[in-house]
Amino acid sequence: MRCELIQPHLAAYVDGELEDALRLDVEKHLEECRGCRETVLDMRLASAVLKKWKPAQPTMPMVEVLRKRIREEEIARHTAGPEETERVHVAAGRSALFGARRLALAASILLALGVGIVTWEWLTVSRKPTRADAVAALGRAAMKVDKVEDLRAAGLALHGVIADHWASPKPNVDALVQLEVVGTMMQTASEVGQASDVGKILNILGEERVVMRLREEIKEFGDGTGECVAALLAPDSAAADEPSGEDNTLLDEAAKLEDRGELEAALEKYREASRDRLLAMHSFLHQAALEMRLGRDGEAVETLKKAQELTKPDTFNRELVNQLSQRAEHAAELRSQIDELKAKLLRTENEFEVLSEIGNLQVKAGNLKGAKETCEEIIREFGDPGHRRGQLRARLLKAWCLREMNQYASAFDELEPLITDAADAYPDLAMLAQYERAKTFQLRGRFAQAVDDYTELANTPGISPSCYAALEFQVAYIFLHDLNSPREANKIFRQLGREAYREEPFGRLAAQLVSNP
Amino acid sequence: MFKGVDSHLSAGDRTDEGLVKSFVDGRVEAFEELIRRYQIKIVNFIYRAIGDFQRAEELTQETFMRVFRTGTRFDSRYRFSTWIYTIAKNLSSNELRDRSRNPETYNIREADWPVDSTFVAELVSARTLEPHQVLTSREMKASLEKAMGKLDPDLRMALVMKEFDHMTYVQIAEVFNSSSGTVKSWLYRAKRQLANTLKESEVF
Repeated sequence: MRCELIQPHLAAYVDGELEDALRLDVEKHLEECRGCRETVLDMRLASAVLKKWKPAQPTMPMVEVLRKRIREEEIARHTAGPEETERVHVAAGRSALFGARRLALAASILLALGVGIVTWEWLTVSRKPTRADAVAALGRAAMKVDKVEDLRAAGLALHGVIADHWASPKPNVDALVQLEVVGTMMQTASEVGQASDVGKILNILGEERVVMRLREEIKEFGDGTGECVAALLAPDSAAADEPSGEDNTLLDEAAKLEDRGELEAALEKYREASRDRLLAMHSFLHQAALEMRLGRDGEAVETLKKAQELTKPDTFNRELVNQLSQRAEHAAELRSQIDELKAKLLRTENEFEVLSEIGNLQVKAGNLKGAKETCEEIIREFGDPGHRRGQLRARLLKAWCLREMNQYASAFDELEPLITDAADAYPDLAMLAQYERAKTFQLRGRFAQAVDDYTELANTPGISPSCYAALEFQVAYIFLHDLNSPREANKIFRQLGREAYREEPFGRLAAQLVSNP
Repeated sequence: MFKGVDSHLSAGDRTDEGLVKSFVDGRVEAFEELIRRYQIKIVNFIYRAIGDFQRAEELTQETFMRVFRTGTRFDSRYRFSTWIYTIAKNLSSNELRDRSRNPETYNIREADWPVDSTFVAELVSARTLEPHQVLTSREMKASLEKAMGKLDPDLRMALVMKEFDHMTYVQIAEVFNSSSGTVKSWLYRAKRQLANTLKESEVF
C-alpha cells in the first residue's frame, strides 16, 4: 500500500486507536517502508519529549477562592438595579433614533409586531419545516429577489415559519435558533437599510449576483432623507411607491417650472403630499397588524381595504397589503376552526389536547392575545404531573407571545422561573426559555446580559455545531451593531470561520466576513 | 467538626455526574468535591493550551464558575468530563483569540521542567546522536516551547488532551463537537509538525 494512504493513520497507530484490520495494514507497510518507520519514531520521540513536562500544582486554594466568588456573585445579583436602568435609557434613545425610519417601512413594523406573511413555497411542505427547509427556501426566494422590499417580505415569511414552529408541540431548539438569528439579522438590516448587512445575509445563501444588485438598490433605499425625491429622479426606483393621481398632478406642475426656487418649492409640496399618503397607508397597516394580534381579523380585513385604496397597482406596497389581506382572511378561516374547537371543549374528555390545538391555531392566525390567554388556561387547569411538559410548553409559548407583543417585563417574569423549572426534566424547553430571555434582553437593549445568555447556551454540552455557530454569530452581531465593538465581533467571526464550523451556514458566513472584512 | 463529603453523599452519588446532580440540588460540598477532582487536570490543560500558567489559573476559576452557573442545564446522559473540558477548551480558544493581535510567548515554567538530563540519554540512544548534538535541558525546554507555540490552537489542544489527559479520539471529538476522523487528522498533523520543529531545533 502506498505511503499517502498509510500516513494519515500513523498518529492513530501510535496512539493505539486503530481497528485491527487497519493496524495490520499499517504494520505490514512499516516493515517495508523506512520513511514511514522514521515518521513513527519521530512521533514517539516527540511524545517522549512532551511527557517530560510535569503537571503543575495550582498556587491558589481553588475551593476557597471559588466559594468566595460564588458568594460575591450572589450579592451582586441582588444589587444590579441602577446599571440596568441606564442600559434601558440607552436602548430607548436608540429605538427613538430608529423610530422615524421604522415608520416608513411598513414591512418591518409588521415584522416587529409579529405578523408574518406566509407566502413562500416551503409552507407547502406538509411536515414541520426544518432549518434546512427554511434556508433552502430562503435561498430560492433570494434568487427571485429584485428589490430589497422582497427581502423584507422574505423576512416576514421567515417570521411566519418561526411562528408556525413555535406552535409545534416539540419545538426544535436547533431550527428555532437558526431561524430566529436569520430573522433578527434581516429585520435589523432592513430596518436600518444597511446594504452591506443585507448583502451578508444573502451571502449565506450564496447569491453573489443578487447581493451586488441589492447593494446598489439599498444604498438609495437606506438614504431615508428623500424617498420622494429619489422617486422623482429615478421613476423606476424600488425605493418608493408610485405617486397617486393627486401627487402626479403636483409632479406635472413641477416639471413645467424652470425657476429653481419655484421648482424646489413644488417638489417640497409633492414630497409632503406623497409622504402624507404613505404615512396614512402605513398607519392603516399598523392598525391592521394590531387588530390581527387581538384576534379581530374581520376588522383587519376592512382596515386593509382602506390601506389598499392608498396604494397603486403593481407596486410593492400593493403586494404587501394584498399579502396581509390574505393573511387576515386566512386568520378568519382559522377562527372558525378555533370556534368549532371551543364548542368541542365543553363535551370532550381530551380538554388538554383541544386547548393545545386552539393555542397552535391562534399562533398561526397571528392572534397573540388569544394564544396567550389559551396558554394561561392550560397553565391554570393542568398543573398535574401528567401534563408537566405541556404546561411548561404553555408557559414558554405565553412568554413568546408576550415578547412578540413587546411586553418585555411580563415576558421576563414568565421566563425566569421557567428556566429553573424546566431544567431537570426538559432541558430542551429550558434552553428555549433561556434563548427567549436572551432575545428579550436584546430587544430591551440589555446587550451585556443577552451576550451572557447566548454564550452560556453556546457552551451547553451536546449542542450541535450549527446551533453553536448560530448563537456565537448572534453574539458577534450584537458586538458589531449594538455594542460598537467590531474587534470583538471579528474575533468571533474568525473563530467561527475555522474548520470545525465551515460546513454550517453561520460558519461559512463568518469565514467570508473574515476573508473580506 | 468538619464533615467530609463522604458523610453527605451515598455511594451512588459519587460519580462526577451524581455530584453535579447533588450540587444542583443545593449541596455545595458536592461542587467542592468536583473542584478537587478536576482542578489539577483543568489548570494543566489550559496552561498547556495557552502557555501561561498565571492566566491558566484564572481561566480554571472561570471554568468552574461556568460549571456552577450552568449546572442546572447539565444533561446527565453526557459525561461530566467532556463538558468541563469543552468549557475549558472554549475559554482557552477565546483567550488565544484575544491575544492573537499581540501574541505573547508560549512559556513553560522552569519549575515544571526537569533539571536533570536523563531523558536526553533516552533520545540519544534512540537516534545515536553525537555528544555535541545533545542539548541541555534548558535548550530542550526552549525548543518545546517554540514547537508547541507554533501549533495551531485546535491541534495543540487536541494533542494535549491525547498526550496528557489520555482522552480517546471519540472523547476529544465530543469536546470539539467534531468527528473522530477530524481528530485523527488533527493529531497526525500535530504530531508531525511537533516532531519536525523539534528536529529543526536538533532535539533529536
